[in-house]
Amino acid sequence: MTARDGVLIVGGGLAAARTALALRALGHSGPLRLLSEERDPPYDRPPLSKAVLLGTAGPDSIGLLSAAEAAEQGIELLLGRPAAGLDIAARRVALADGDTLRYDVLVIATGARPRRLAALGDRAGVHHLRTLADAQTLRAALLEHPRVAVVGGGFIGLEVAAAARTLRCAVTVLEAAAAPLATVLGAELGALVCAWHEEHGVAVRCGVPVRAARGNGRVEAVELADGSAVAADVVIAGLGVEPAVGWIGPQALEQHRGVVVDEHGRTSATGIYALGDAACRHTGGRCVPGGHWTGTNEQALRVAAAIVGRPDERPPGDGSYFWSDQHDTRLQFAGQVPPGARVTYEAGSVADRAFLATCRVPGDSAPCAVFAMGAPRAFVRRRLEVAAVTRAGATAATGSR
Amino acid sequence: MIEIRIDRTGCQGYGNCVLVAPELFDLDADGIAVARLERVGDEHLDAVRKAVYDCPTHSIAIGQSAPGEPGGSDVG
Repeated sequence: MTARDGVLIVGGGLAAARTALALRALGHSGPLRLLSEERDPPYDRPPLSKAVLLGTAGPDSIGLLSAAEAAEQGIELLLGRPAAGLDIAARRVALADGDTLRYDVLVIATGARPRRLAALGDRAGVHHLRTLADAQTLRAALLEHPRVAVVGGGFIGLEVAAAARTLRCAVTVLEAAAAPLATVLGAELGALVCAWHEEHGVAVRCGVPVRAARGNGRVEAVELADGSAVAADVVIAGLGVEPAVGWIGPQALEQHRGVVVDEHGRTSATGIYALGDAACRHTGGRCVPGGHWTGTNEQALRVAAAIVGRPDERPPGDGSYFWSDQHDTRLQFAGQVPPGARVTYEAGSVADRAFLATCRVPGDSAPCAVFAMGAPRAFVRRRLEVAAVTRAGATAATGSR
Repeated sequence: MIEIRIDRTGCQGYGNCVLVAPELFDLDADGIAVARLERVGDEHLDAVRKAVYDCPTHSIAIGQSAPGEPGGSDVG
């Protein structure tokens, strides 16, 4: 690889920052640029739905790659400049402001955008949460103790609901499926999580989709498909994300749930890699979408290793591990829960909301998933024992994308 | 030798370090990370670095020194 145009990483979050740092750690010494649409240097997103809303973390404590560290590592940060197009033949990225950047190697790490529900419209008081700016705006709104409706009971929606409740807002979670997190955790564990939120004073309404928002200019209520309405001054849409790959153009690279990559992050075009929320891994006939912190962390190391010509030949993890901190309790999960899987409570007490559970497909002795609420030590131990859970390839069954 | 230092205030018990290197890390009864040994041989450097890297709260720091030397420079 020539050192002329170097490596261009398009993106400004965890995937981008960790790939840049990994390249330097592996000894890559050529030009290395990071092009981000955000004005803030790369920062960690998990705290945005927790500590940043609660006011216990801010821009200074969640950074992943400061301007100073980037300068020290010879990583050129180009901030506040969105990418607008990709010319593969010319090895060029077009920027929204009209400039172009040439590359020898391109890494697509542009993450994802919050899914928007057309039914909610553009009224003031409707929030999406993806960036630090979104989190700061939302926190300011929550400090007024508004009535809050969270549309979508995924783990981000539930974290926001828990934080809003801690900030003494009245909170209702509106989940179209039968239970929050049901697609990921299965019906039984999903129902448990639902009950636990209700114990903390969060109202949870399941099974009825949102039809519209009401209010002139400002949101006043959310209307459900059964005609009922929930009064709300602040509405947070927690409906998952869509890969932010519109700037690439649909014909340029093979795409599915984002840019399709192999286990080394290689796309269908030579010299172009992708990882994180912007990519989905296709191996062994399965699709593993992005979306979790530890998985993205691992991918960054693998992409950097592939770029410097020393690909990591160990099989990757399945990327299914995630944690979610709600109401001062940690939920942890790894694996998949197919319909019909049965839950076994292995340790702790469900009534005390501190327990470990495994899920099994009837007929299998090995668990297909491990779940813990308020039992981090037990989770880590059990997960170590169940090596098959962390090694199995995941399917595209999760509905959160 | 590698010294492993865990910030017990920053640690929130995610346990990623245990998953990376169960021979080097554990969670104590409060669910906070502990290094099984505070100084380990250089052959563990890759594993320790991965644990540092995978910690969501950036609560692990490592220092390197020659055997018998106290302290050392930060390498991670």
